[in-house]
Amino acid sequence: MRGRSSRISKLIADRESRIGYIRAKLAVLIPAQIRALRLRSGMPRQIDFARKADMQQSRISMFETPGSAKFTLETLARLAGTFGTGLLVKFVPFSEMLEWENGFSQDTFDVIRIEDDTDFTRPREHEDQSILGTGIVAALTSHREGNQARRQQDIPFLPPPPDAIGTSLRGAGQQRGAA
Amino acid sequence: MKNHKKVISFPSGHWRYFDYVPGARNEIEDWYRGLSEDAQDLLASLLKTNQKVDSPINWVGLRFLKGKYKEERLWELRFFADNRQQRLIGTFGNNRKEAIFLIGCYHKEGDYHPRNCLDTALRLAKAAKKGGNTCERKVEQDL
Repeated sequence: MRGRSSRISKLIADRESRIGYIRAKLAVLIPAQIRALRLRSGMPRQIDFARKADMQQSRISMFETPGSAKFTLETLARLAGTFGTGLLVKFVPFSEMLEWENGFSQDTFDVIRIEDDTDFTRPREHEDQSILGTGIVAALTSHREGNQARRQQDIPFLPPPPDAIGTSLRGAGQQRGAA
Repeated sequence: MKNHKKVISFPSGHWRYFDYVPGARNEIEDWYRGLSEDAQDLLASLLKTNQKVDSPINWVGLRFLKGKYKEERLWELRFFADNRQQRLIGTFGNNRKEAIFLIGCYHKEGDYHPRNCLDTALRLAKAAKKGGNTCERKVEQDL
């Protein structure tokens, strides 16, 4: 096969070569991922997966044949939706694309399905609200207790700390970021 | 080491590909050279991906041939390139994780081209089983 340096030179110099090269990678790596996910799903037969995807079995077969299908984003979104996975399409350096390909193994490739994706299904909003609520309550309780102490010692009451709510919000934000 | 069970260890690792070369010319290489650069890239990527898959049943693009071809465990790697359904027909070698390519062809309107390629592949597979010239096809491990 061709030499590495001449290949790189050609890819650097010629846009059409780059397009063809990327197309060749996608033509194999998308079918390989679809096949791997289908075999790991509860629908290892093409016909079963086709039914769930609302597609013809012949179409699934085409998707799994390298180079046969011209995938649109809509098709990929439908497949991802059927698998219960997300889909990431992003522009990357050539080196990153190849690194991903080199590390890709159909035998080990799997993606956590949405129902098992605890990072996604964990109720973050609710959790944040409770963190926020706890923070505000803690700040106000501390203020109230301070005032009670002052009352006992006959020291003038203090107004609520102006930053109490702000601090709670920042605290909740930091925790959210850390999560 | 009496009563020691014999442990047969298989080499784990990637598949190795070989072109079967019955005569002076490597016809797989001729077929490969006849493909466009894009198609060559696609095939390289396909071989690279399948090389890492333990069971060939799970190879992407693979289909086992039926009928009389089944006896010799003939299969075809299918991919679409250069506006054709390309086919690379092969069989398995005598050693584990060895695949032997026998003939490259394409499929159009229900027929293989060249028309006799399946029978040729069958004949080559039988000859390859008896031992014959093979030439290892290195997979491009990209840049």
